[in-house]
Amino acid sequence: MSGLLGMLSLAARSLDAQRYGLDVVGQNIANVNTAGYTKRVTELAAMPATDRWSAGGGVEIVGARAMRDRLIDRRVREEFSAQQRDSAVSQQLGVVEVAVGQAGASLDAALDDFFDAFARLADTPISASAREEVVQQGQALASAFGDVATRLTSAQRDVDLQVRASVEQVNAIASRIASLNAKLAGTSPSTPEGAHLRDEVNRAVEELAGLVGLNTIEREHGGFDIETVSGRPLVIGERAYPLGLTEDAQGLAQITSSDGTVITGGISSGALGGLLNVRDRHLPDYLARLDQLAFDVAQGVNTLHQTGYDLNGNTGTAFYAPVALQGAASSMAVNPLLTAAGGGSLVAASGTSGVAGDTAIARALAKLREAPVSNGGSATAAEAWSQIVYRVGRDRDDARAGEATQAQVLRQIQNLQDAVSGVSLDEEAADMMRFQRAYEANARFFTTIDEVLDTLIAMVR
Amino acid sequence: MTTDLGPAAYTTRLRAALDALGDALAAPAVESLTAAEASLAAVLAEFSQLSLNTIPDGARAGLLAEVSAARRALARARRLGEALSSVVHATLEAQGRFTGYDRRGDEPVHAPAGAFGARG
Repeated sequence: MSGLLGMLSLAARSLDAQRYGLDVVGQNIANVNTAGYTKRVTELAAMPATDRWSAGGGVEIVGARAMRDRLIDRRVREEFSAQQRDSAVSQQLGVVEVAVGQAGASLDAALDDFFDAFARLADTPISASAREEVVQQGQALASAFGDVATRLTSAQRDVDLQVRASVEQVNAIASRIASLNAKLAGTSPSTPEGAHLRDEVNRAVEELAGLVGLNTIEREHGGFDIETVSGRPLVIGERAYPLGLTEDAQGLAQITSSDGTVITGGISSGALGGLLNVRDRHLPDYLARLDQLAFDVAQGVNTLHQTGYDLNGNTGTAFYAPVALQGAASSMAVNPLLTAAGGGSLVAASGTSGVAGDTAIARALAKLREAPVSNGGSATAAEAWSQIVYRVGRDRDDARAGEATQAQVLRQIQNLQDAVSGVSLDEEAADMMRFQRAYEANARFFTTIDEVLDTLIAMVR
Repeated sequence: MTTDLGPAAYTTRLRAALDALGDALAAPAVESLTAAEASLAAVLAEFSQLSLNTIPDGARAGLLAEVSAARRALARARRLGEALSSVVHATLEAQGRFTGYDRRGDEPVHAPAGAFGARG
């Protein structure tokens, strides 16, 4: 098709191609603020020469195709899952932080009041009111332990409700993606409708990744097959595989895959992973530490109290009712013999039988405040409580920092792509290598820094 | 020079250097990344001269807080570095280039020219 007609045809195709390119640019500009919109790029291909005397056939439009680097999209989804996990942990631990209160104004205040009551009893050992006050402060301390345990358990139940709601959301989104897969299967990916559906399915997958960590496999027409990180299917083609719920012995929701297998332990990212982390790891840890503290205090007080003598000269009884380690905080209670009418006389303040003025045991119980009764004999009760409060705060700070870092990672990936776009592939590769080498030069110090920080921590503890 | 400051002060410097590295990675800015390397090397050299035998009781809480902050800064730099590396690898692999070294430590081996330009 050489000759004038051929040249005119070639020029017309070139003009069409350029006009189409401008349309695509206009579309990109119009959607610059549209969430989930993927920039389209015009792909032009050289037309082959039709005969030996022609230099070539000009250009033709291959089609507008969503410019997505699948590997980077996958990475972005992973980071989004991690960010949502940290966000959920941070949010829930904020509630827990309020539940445990501030150091100096919660359980430690009740501990102080309790030991102060014994100090006052040491000053007036036969005073009935001083004895009653010891019993009352003992009850107040047990109530304070119980209140904190109740607040932590209540926080665990609240998180559990959110786990259940999140599973419903996962199923709803998976069902939507299956439906979009069906639509995409019958649509050409290079048409505007195909591109729109691809944006929609990408948004849905990102939303799902925010709830639960995913593995995705892109389908031929732009849809996705999706499974959980532990390999349980959520969407395959046009069919969704809903997650189920069952309950464990504590009444907490356990998540099952479509075949009924419990997969709760395999969900560690996304908001759902964060909620499960708080419900099944953080809160049980805090409760166990609280139980240990309550158990240690009750044991320490009982051991001393039982070496003393009450107002009637009898050997002291247990101040606190016997308590098991598990659930100690919620079940701690003063011995009913002491809370009964006149029970104050059973408080063992004396170290010598029949000598009511002896206050050796009352003084020893007051000094228990400074004794390392907790954490295997390494911390006072108040210090052990401070460590629990500190741990909650530190865990929340870690989650907040993690959330902020994940947000920076998402921006970083975008910035990195922007920084190298618009240059040749060779320049892009060279720039990327410079970033990589500069990072590696810093990363060689990381192991040493780890060691330095470990050494410092070992010295502080 | 190092005897005037306690471990907490040096840990604060370490955290600041790690924060600067994290910021350089987040931007990402290659010149700042290069500068961060020199800062880290300097801070670690100071640590090597520091006597870490005892910590005064009064300094423990402050040091613990600084170490926690430094650990978070290190974790941040690691996460940002991993993400940067993954994008670099993904980009180079999509272009048909390899990012490693050969046995002799030479520069990355390039794929055949025909592999380039296959982006999209």
